[in-house]
Amino acid sequence: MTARVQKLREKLGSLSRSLMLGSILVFPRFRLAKQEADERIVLVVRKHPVVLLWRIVLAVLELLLGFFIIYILTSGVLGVFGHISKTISLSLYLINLMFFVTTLWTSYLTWYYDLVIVTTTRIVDMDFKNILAMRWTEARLAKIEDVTIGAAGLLSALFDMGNLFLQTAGSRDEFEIRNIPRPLKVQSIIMELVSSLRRR
Amino acid sequence: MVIDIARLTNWLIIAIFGMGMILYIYYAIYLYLRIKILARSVNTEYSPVIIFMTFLHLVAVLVLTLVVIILLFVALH
Repeated sequence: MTARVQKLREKLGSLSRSLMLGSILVFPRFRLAKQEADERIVLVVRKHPVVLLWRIVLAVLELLLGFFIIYILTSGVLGVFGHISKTISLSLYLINLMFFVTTLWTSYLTWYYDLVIVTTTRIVDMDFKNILAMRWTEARLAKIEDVTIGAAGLLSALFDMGNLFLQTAGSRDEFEIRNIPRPLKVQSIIMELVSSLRRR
Repeated sequence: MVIDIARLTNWLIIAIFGMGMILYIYYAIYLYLRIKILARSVNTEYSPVIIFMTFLHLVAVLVLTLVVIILLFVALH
């Protein structure tokens, strides 16, 4: 096992990125809650940072739109709510600013924890719709039958982004992670891990 | 019986703000607890930083609530 892990580490070392902002992490310093003694985390894949950047742009737009709406409602431009005092409008501005901070932080957290973790024995998919609704799926690597990638659209071509689908034997659950960077490379790493496990 | 519209409007504004802020505090607490669990499930060297930042977010929401309540009382009394 150790020799195999060492071989993989040498091969994939150049792929590693920063733990906080990287999308492909090779042999990261991660520790799963139920990690077996001889189990090593080989690969952690997140969505492309462009996805996070897009969410930040949307949050800034929401902030500006909020300020605009509050200004229109409280300044008396339209003749409605003209009587609202400056203190209440200040409260509304503060709340809008705090919503912006919350949106930014939850966007980052959702991106940070939306992971596919490939270990030497299994694969774990943490799937987030939003920060409050998550799904944790895991399967043994030996059970993986198909690793499919797909890409469509201009952004995918520009940023080398794609979707990864993993089909496991005897289960209807399909692992799916969208908008990952370098899908071909990730596919080959998983396939290599699966085939080396089967050769043993 | 005479209904004081101005007083009623004031109470309505306080009720709307109050409910909104209670929901916001609830969300911030839920987020903090969820992140604490997640950080334990997938533990990295940055997990304490992420937990601390989420706690700061919760504190910021609580401070905001306090500020908004003070501002409302200043405005409505």
